[in-house]
Amino acid sequence: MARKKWFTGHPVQAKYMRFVALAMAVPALFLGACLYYVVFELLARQMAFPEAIAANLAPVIRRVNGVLLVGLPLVVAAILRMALVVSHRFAGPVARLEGELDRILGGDADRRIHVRENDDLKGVADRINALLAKKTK
Amino acid sequence: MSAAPVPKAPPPPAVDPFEVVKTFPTDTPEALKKWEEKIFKGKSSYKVVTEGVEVYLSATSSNASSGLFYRTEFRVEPGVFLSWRWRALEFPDKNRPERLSDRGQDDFAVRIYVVFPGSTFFNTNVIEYIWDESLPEGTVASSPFSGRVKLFVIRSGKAGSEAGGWKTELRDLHEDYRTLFGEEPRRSVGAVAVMSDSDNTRTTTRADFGDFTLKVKKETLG
Repeated sequence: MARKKWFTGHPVQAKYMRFVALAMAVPALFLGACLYYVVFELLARQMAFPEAIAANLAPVIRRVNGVLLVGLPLVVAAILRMALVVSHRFAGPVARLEGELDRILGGDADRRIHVRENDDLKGVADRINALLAKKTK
Repeated sequence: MSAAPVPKAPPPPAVDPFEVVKTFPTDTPEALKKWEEKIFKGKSSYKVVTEGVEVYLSATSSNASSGLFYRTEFRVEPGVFLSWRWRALEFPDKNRPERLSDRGQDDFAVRIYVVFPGSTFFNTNVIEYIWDESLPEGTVASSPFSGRVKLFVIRSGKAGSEAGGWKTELRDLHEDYRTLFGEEPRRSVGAVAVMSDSDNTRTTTRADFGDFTLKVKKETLG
């Protein structure tokens, strides 16, 4: 069954999305910044003379900056998409579980919880269904 | 009876108002090892020459660009001077000699760098003291490569015959920095360098230099 919407609006998804995005973005940006600084700083130090740095290194830095200007938004978009997918795997079933439980608590005692086969909370849903079946016997 | 003439007191020895705090020796091949050679396009030759009691560094560049770079660290407070002696023997042949800052002709018989490094190259300030063939002394321009690199002509014309053409410089680094950058030098000097290059004009340049010394005016010492 295809997912209808990727963002459930449940607070737990926003929380996990933030966590996943930061877990991906912070190391990536840190490593990138270190690499950028160290490579160019070491090269500049090696070249030493300002004319050599300006004539040879500065154009490379400008080109790298141009690539980053285009590439960085794409990387950020990819990170956000990954964060959305990963967070939805957990937040989607939680939202569904809560919705189904609200309906059951609202009086629909015969209702059972349906989650996808590969959802992470399938085991919890099955056990709640078993508990409800036992109660209604 | 006339009194014996009182012998005249010898004149007091001349007091050097400066104290040498650092030297950047170039007088032996071993001393030159402290100067890193940086080659950009071909190699200018830098050789220690001994002529009688004279020892100096002789640079010749033919369609080449390389320099010597001496890493150091000192703060430039008021009263800090850099001294050296030099003579420019052969200048690059430029099509537009009236332009000090010219990317296509950025060659000089000799230039002395004083580098004030920032956190990156982009905020590093540099003074280049230049001996130019025709531009008047005091001519200043930003380098065609960076506004933070100031070209400063402090000698002009061919070296004369007096004293073998040698000229001794004593530059007030604090004052020069203020003049060129319009502010106090906030960072320490990180390097002193020399270059004789000719790659842009594809000609030949020759210059001699030596005795790089950092001096402090005694009256400014605490």
